[in-house]
Amino acid sequence: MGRTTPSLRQSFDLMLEDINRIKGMISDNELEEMQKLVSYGRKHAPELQFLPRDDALFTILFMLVEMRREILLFEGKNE
Amino acid sequence: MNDSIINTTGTDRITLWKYDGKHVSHESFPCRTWIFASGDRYDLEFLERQLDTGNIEHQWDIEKDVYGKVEGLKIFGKPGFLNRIIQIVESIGNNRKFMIYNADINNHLRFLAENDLSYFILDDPMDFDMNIPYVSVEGRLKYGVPEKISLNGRQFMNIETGILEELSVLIRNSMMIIYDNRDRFFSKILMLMRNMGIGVPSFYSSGNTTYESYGVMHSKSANVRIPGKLCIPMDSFILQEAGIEGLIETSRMSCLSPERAAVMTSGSAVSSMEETFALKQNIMIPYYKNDHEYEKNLETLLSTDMGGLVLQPEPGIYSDVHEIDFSSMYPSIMVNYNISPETINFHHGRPVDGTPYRISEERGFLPSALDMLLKRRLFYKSVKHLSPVYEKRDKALKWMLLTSFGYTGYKNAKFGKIEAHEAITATGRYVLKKSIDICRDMGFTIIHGIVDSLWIQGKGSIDELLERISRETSIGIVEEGHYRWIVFVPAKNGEGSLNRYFGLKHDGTYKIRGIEIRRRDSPNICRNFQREALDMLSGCRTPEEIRGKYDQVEKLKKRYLSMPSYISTDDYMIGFHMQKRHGEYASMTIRKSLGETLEKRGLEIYPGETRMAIVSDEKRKTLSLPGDEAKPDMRYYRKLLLRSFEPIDFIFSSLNLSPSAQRKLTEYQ
Repeated sequence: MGRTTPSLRQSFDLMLEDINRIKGMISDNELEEMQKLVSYGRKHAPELQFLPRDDALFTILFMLVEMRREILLFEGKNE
Repeated sequence: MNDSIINTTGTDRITLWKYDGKHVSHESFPCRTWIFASGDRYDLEFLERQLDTGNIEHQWDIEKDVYGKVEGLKIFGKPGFLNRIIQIVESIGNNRKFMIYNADINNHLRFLAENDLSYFILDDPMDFDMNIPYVSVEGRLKYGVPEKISLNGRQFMNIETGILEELSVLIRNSMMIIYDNRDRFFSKILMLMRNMGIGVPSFYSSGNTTYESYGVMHSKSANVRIPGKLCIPMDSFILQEAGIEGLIETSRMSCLSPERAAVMTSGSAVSSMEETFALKQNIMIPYYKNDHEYEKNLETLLSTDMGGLVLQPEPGIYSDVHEIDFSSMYPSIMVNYNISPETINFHHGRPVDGTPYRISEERGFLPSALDMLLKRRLFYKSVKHLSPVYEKRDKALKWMLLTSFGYTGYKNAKFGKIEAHEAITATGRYVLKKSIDICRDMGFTIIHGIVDSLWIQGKGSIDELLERISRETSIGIVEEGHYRWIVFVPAKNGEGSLNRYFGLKHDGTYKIRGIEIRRRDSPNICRNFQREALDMLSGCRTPEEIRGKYDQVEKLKKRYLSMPSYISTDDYMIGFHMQKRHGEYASMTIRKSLGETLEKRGLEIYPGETRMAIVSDEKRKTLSLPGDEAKPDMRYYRKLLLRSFEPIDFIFSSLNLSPSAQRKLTEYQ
């Protein structure tokens, strides 16, 4: 009933599945980092719903926000 | 109290079953009905000539559908002949030239609606329904043969002649028969009675049905019909959810007999209610829906075809949290924002946030049809604490309202349109976003949000907050719970799980979602562990007090892991839900093995059914069924137990315990 297109969360999950396809071609470390970056974007799927559909740029911005937060946390300057 | 209509039968003559509280009387009325055909004038004139030749009564007329006035031919006939007339009209119009109306409405529903009647009419919504004498029959089979029986809750371990004679008397004296027909139990009992020469009325039985809903298979046991009685299957969704009172309320609101209301989904009940409303308003109901989805570009499709807004919680334990919840959010949006297939357009009216659609000012059909249902539900919600009858009516209406939204997006819904569905979810997202803004503005922190609920923390006035949200969004919102503490559990990837949480309210009760204690597919041993652990924590007023329970919970975990012999084997039973026939499973899974085990014992299992079993050997996929001498596979159950520890362990791990305690938490994993 209703929906025919995948939700943003589902799109991110599909991206994670895609990344798994190149498992073995890249190092485990890189794979893990890529998964982590996508999960940063996935975390902000609710906000992305309200932004223009060309959301790749916003996804990258949110990834950067999360990375910055982690750096600040590591440096003990935040939270 | 006047006589209540409790059932209708017949086709060309409709018989009303009237009940005065003691006796049932029958009253019959002749029934004549009509369909309407509209289309090109030239084609209609050709149809008219054909109808003249066939001596089928008709007349030119102007009627209305939800979009406005329609001119065409009104064709009369007896209900039993209506299908033939429809076939004739369709074949004359080559299945495309005519738009046909009022052709596939339930005959009894139409008769009642056109005569302004309904089932179980009440003078006042506070009135109780008349007491309908009923008998409930359930039981268990062993190797395909009825073994145990329960009549009105009285258990009999053996099925003897005397018990069947008593059942025969109970059936004769009852108006309603609530039966359990899993594995054809009730059909077999009736056959047994007939073969033994015990007085039993004639009966008809259908086959099992299986259907899919939201990706999950469901199964319905075979229906049994006994002429002169109302036969209600025990696995009826609405009966299970809202009891007899809820079933009667559904029947009353949808104009469907209790027998039909029991076997239909809540969505079909809403559909019937809308049809009844349309008939009463002289609005014609299309045979085939002709309002296709608007043409739209990919960007519009992607930006409008979205569901409700679900936030991402940070996993952790939070104290002093309020859960605020919109009452019947989507139906309220439909009613208060006037969203209906005929009010949606691109050109005039109020814009819908986040979509290119607009809503015209004229009152729509769906908001008008649902308004009464919504008001009735809110009324019973406000008085449900006074009586369990009102509570059950509230539950039944809640389900009808829930599905009323879903049906707007259902391709076969008579009054549905995908754009209306999109406009409702879009409005829902903006209503929740607006509420989040208001919460923040009033000093609250948002912890989580799911479609129509928010979990918030803050010291501001909750009453003022609710009043402001209600005023600014035009949708009623209430405080669903005030938690001393609430835990949002992480998913496997470490992010907050959207629908796994549990929290202790100020009134001492828990709200639990998604963890083992709530899951049908977890054994009692896991549920009991979580229940005991949560009982231990129920006295903790703050997360800090939970810290003091660490040793107690650890002892409990050890006790469960040792799997003492006093744990009953029944506590190892797991409900396995079959998604397909066991032969269709490609590899040897536990479910396939369960299907094979049941088959060997002469029992059938259909997709959608759930069966209880104990895993005796996970590697060899050996299972024991209820009543067997069972020896559970301890390694398998240990795995399940460890999984059930996780949500409880998570509380302690987020409380910054000492390193040694942290190590202990992970030592079992």
